[in-house]
Amino acid sequence: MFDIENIKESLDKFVIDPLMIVDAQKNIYMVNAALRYLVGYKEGELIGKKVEVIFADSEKSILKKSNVEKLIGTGTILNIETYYQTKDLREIPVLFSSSVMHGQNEKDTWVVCTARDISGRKKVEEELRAAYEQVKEAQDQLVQAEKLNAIGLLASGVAHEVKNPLAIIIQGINYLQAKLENKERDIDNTFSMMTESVKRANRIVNTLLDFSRANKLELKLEDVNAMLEGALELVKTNIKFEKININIDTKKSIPSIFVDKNRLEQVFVNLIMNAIQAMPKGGKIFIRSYDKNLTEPKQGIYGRDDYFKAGEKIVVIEIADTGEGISPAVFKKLFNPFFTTKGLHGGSGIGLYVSRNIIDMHKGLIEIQSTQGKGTKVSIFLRVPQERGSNE
Amino acid sequence: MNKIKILIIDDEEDFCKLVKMNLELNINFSVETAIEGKKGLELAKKFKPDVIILDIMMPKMSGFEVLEKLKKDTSTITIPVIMLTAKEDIDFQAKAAQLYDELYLIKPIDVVTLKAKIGEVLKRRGIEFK
Repeated sequence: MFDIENIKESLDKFVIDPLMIVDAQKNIYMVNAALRYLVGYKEGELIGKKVEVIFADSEKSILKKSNVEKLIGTGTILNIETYYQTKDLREIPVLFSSSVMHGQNEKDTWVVCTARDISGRKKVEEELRAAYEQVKEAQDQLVQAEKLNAIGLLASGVAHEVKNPLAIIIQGINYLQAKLENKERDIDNTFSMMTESVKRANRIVNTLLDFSRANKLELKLEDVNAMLEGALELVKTNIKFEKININIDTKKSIPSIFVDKNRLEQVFVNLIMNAIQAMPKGGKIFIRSYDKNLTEPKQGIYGRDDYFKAGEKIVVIEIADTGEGISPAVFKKLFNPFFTTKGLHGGSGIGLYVSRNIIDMHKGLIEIQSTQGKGTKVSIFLRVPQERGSNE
Repeated sequence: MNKIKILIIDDEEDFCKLVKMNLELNINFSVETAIEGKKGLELAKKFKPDVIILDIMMPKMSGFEVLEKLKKDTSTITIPVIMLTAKEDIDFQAKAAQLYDELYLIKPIDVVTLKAKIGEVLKRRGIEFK
């Protein structure tokens, strides 16, 4: 039989794990030194208190302040992860067990509760989980980069295969055109349509080639602001700005940077077009450029870590809109090739993908921030050549 | 006036045929074709073309290998070559230009452009055609 008075002192001194004994009314009867140390109470402070006092009301555990009184007298509980609450209201993760003991008479019923402090283990678990997430993310990025490389290769392969038949078709059309001299108007029109179709197919193939990264950059020292103006001119010829207000805030003495002007203009056009298309009911576009010294290093695209070091001078280009913003589900897929929310006739879904690749080829960085209902801001970071950067 | 002799080396047989048909619409042209490098090299020696139109991407022997052999043979070393590629890859173009300062064209190519390029190549050699 279990005689609590006989073992009370031994439990207090010699049991290493935090332990308490609770009576049939769920009041704390005794607390050992290890538990007092863990939860920060002095000897005697907990005696007679309801058992719930040392449990936290944590959402993370099924056993908590609000239900512990009901649960611990009902039978054995083994190794449940729960949280004790310290005197100064901190939560400590513990592995909790309890069992019901009966003494010499029926009223003599006790619940013996032990708990093992697992904060150390938890911390290691958290660190492991964080490390795992990091590795997984890096792996996902690598897989994505590999996939995109494969698509790029495929695209250039397909381009080659399609261009050969196109070459044959155009030669065939040329031959028939020459042979059918003094031809009827209908025939002439048909040849024109066929020629135009071959050209169109060729343009599509060229877009695919843009998509692959086969083309190299022609780098020259260029003025970012002039490129932004050039991009705006290009967009203006295609789009009416009736409901769109464009606000330009470019820094006048911005340092020149080594870029491929045509490629970068293509990026700006893509981004401005996206901004316009994000605001079907109209709105504002903010175009900004400035330079700054980086206070901390920045990782490059695909997690590359060799791009920006702290202290480096960079040029920042921002294109922001007051459109609908991007939902989290869409945000994840933004840079995926052939992903579009613009419907069948809206876009090919490679604009952002190509833009990111172009920025990556410049060893730059592109970042998107978006708040649903408020708008989206795209920032591009490009390095200022060192000698010039220090002169500016 | 002697006919202007063109040799086309391209693994796309239909392309060869059609270019031949197109060029020979002009009676001043005489065109021979080969659908692989080895045959092309033989024809280059026998036919002694004024210009060779050479595809880069061919199985067995690539256009660059053919070009290299043409330029290492005294009987074909002086023949100008127009490289053809379906791959819009600057590397190819750079390689072609570096090798022997030859011209290149990107497929698909229409007859007007092709003739203009042939004219350009011949003009460098002091030959004019109508």
